[in-house]
Amino acid sequence: MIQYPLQVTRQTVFDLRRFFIVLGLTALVLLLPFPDNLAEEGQRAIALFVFTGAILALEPAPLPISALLVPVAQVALGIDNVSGAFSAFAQPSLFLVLSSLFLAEALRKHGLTRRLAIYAMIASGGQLPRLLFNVMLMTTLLSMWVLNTATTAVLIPVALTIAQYVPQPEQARRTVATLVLGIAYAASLGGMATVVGSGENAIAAGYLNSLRPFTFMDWSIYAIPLVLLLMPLSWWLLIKLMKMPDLKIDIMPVLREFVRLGPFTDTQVRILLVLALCVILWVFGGYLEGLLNLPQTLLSSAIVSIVAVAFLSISEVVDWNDLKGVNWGVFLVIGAGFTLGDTLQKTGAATWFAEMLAPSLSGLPYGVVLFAVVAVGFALTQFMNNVALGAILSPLLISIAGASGIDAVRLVMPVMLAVGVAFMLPSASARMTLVSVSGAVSRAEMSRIGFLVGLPSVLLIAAVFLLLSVFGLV
Amino acid sequence: MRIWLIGADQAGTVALQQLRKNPDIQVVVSDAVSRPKAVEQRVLAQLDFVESVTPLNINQIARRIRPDLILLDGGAIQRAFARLSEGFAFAESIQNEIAAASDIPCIIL
Repeated sequence: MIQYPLQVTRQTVFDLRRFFIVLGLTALVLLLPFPDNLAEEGQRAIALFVFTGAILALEPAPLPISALLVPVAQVALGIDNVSGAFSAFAQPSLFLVLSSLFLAEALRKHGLTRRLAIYAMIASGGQLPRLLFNVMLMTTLLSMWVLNTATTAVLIPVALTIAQYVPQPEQARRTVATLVLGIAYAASLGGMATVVGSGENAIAAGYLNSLRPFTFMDWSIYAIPLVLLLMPLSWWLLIKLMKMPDLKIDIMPVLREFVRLGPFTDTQVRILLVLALCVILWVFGGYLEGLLNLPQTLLSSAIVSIVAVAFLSISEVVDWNDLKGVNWGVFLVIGAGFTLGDTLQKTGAATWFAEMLAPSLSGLPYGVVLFAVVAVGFALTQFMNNVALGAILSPLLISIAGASGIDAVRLVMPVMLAVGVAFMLPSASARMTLVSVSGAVSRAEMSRIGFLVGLPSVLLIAAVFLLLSVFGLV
Repeated sequence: MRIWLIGADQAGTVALQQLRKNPDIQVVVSDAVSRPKAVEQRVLAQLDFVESVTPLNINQIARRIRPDLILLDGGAIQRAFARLSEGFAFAESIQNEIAAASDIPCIIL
């Protein structure tokens, strides 16, 4: 049987050289001559934009710490005081992410993610392509409602266990590689479907909500149908490209594990009920508010999330100690994104940027602008954490939308969805980092397959939005 | 009795010290790194072998070692993935899958 070394991660905690590059780039912007139509404060906001982009891309320190330096830089550049700099961290979207972290931890801690994966395997009857489809579908459905990296973290090791039952070494290698990539892709795709699924969605939704009321369903109404197209497409491409063996593996060990797990525990049922209730209220909360004559925003997704977190905590399903290993960093990166957007708006830098772009963008057909920004998003997301990229691109896209006279939703949503298609490199997302450390897929294979699955996916995203705009549906 | 100790981090080192109280227990120690805590603290001169154990290779290695019991030091795996986003969940899942995949009784320390 083949062996895959689980690579022990070694990484410098602080890279002084990179930090100096970040400071150098920021200083360079400050030293440039003022554009006539931009106030000094606006120029400092542009410097903050460069600082944010550089620090989140180069990561001289771990990403959450780098993100925390954004409001610090905002104060240091004299743009705002400390209260103003951190006020962006109180955006409702951040609290949606909090509940997503809690729910993901509850599912993991109480073995629900693994249990559902076992059901998916049994339902496949051991037929590998069908098993891949079931596992991908289950991962997609879970990742819609809880942060997608948590699902990937639990399921990649399950893929290693499945491959143990494939007798021939080369077939086992292909099986594990296909399953691991399938899980990571499905988690990314599932994460696109809702505002809570991924950090960049929460950022984009927060920005769109600042322009006009933008609810949970406003995102999902476009994203869920797209995800339902993208998931089977990724599955089919993966099977073809990875030449996954069309084998039937022995599922007796899985059935034994299923018997060992026994029936659902009370806690597991409670978690599923809370998740189901959250989903119902996230989707129908606004409608119920009106129907029951409740105070406005009482059933908004953020409030629902906070109540769910409180319930999970007081019923001791999850406690704060359980959350020590949770991906808290995403919380801070999203906050940094909102800080940046707030600054660009307040200082007039966003308006200046839009005015600068307007001559070259106005009059361009929507399709041209759409395919261009989606291509940029897809290219950049391969090299950069997608939440960080969402933080940088969202305010920029809103400016571009303003400059080109396109509704912001038409640009922000497809680009954020394309940013989720981060399949090619370990640096692309936390999920691909986990794929990399599993040792199941070589870098070359990850890049090749990631490109060949990712490109048709982003083209489909852009094509669907173009089609929707033609019919006036977006 | 023959015990295979996977990982010689904090818990593994303590387990090793306790197991040595009984000379009838033979302990085979492995880790993913060559100088884990037990070696650093000189509880152990050197590892019996250095290898990453995964759900995929646990039974293959176990057939070579022929242990009666496997003890898995979770700390060693968690240390390896500590700096990753969701590294704790990933490490815990790896441990659980190693234990589930093992044909020989496997206890996570």
